[in-house]
Amino acid sequence: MNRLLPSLPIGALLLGAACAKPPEPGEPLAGLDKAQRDQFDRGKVIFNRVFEPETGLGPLFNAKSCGECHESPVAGGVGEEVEVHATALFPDGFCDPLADLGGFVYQQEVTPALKSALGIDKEPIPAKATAQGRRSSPDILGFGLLDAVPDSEILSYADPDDRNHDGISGRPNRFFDGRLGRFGRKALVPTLKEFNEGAFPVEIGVTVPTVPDEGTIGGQPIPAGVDPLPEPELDADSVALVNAFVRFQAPPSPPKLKGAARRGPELFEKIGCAACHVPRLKTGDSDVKALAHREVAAYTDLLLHDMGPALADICLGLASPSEFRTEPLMGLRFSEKFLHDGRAASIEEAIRLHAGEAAASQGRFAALPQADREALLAFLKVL
Amino acid sequence: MTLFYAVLLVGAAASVAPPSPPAPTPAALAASATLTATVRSVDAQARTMEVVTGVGYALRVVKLSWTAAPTVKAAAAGAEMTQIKRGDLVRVEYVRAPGGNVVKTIEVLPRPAPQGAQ
Ligand code: HEC
Ligand code: HEC
Repeated sequence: MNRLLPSLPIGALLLGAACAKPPEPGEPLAGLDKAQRDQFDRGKVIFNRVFEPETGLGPLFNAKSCGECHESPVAGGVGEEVEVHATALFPDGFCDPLADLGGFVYQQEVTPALKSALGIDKEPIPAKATAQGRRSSPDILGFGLLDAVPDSEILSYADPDDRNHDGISGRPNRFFDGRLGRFGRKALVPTLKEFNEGAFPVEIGVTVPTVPDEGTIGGQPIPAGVDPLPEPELDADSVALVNAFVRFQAPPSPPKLKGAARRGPELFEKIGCAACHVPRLKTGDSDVKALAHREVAAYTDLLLHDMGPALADICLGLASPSEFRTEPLMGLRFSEKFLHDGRAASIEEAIRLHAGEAAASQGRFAALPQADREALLAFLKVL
Repeated sequence: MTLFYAVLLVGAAASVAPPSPPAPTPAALAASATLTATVRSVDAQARTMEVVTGVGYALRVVKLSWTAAPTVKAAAAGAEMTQIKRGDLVRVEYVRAPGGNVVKTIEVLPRPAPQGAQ
């Protein structure tokens, strides 16, 4: 990995800005103008709006509001919901997201009208699927900053052929139109706006102007009369406000490192965690001043890494079953379950389950003297 | 005759399938549109293909068909539709006709190199 060292001018800039108290979780970014703060406040209301069938919910859905899954400790935080994805991998390497068969997100809830029409409790997963993946609900605080990181910065960490022989070969995923992806556990989605807008129909069954149709029920058309509301069920202004709310969320405040945790950053670097979990990314130009040319303590390279067969599930876009985006450790303090499906009950367990490209780093973690391991864990816990 | 029916059938299927991007309103019919997407299937005999596109995780399949051979732009000169395979990244210019989406030109785009923008 050819990581860039944090550059001085930006560090100095941040120091200047750090005089003001950093925003608490759930607060907007510092430095927004009044109009932007107003959009943030109004967007939060729609993020938390509970939809019912009369207001657009379903016919298939996973939950009734964005805030139901992204809720703890504040709107935009983590959630207990685990959703189901399924795709089909062909021998020639082509990954079919089964978009004609309702894929790749298979909703776990149905409205009463759909249940009485078809007698189903959730969207059926087609026999054609070759794998299923479970996905826990992550926090999205500070993700406006991840959105503002230029493609060139992400690509600068890529080393697909491992030319520096460190055993780590991050590579980018691409959306179906060829653009660089970065959001979601498999880094499929290029922009935050698109992720949010797709989440309305996919998670809540609410159509929006950019996705004006409900899709299908596992490939079958929606029975007549089951979803009577005209499309789109949510207007462009409301969608724009939710985009503003998500984009303007402040990142978790810088951790206060006490005692042994102060040795954490150095150990993190030393045992090779930082080769994937790049501590700081830099944003580029942005129409929002508060997002432009900032450092974000992301702890990710937003690239895909092979994590070994035990963690593998679905393919998605160019990502193979065992490839996952380096999970941002920004906001780790909010999580109680770890890894893409929440299988790890502690941070330590999550690290021990690192394999594939992360095997060497995991080995170095396991070999650390106990006091060092504890120092590293104390540091991770407050990110 | 067979081909004619195949195109008609595909046209019918395409009009029921979730259209994307923007649903063809009557005014938009016969208008030309462009789309960059990944090929999911091609049936050169039936003269139909499906591509994947969408917004975030809301993915959709767009069905396309052709009558006269479309212009194929590819690295190799004289390329034909039979050379297009699933997984290819394509830019398609098509017409939203009453019977479905009819391809005018199709260009096979190079997959961006992993280190592209460097
Ligand atoms: C049923 C629970 C649920 C609901 C409702 C939901 N989400 Fe999510 N969200 C998830 C899960 C699960 C993921 C992780 C998906 C993945 O990794 O593939 C996610 C991921 C995201 C991400 C990307 C995070 C990342 O790590 O890249 C964003 C942004 C997001 N959601 C925004 C929203 C918005 C906006 C809404 C409302 C329109 C919403 N979500 C509704 C469960 C939910
Ligand atoms: C080869 C790249 C790579 C290296 C090296 C690496 N990680 Fe990870 N890490 C990942 C990926 C990819 C994930 C997401 C895996 C998943 O969700 O299944 C992840 C997930 C995590 C998680 C879980 C985050 C969450 O919110 O669920 C923690 C904690 C973590 N890594 C810590 C570490 C530590 C500590 C080290 C050093 C010992 C390390 N990682 C080394 C790539 C890496």
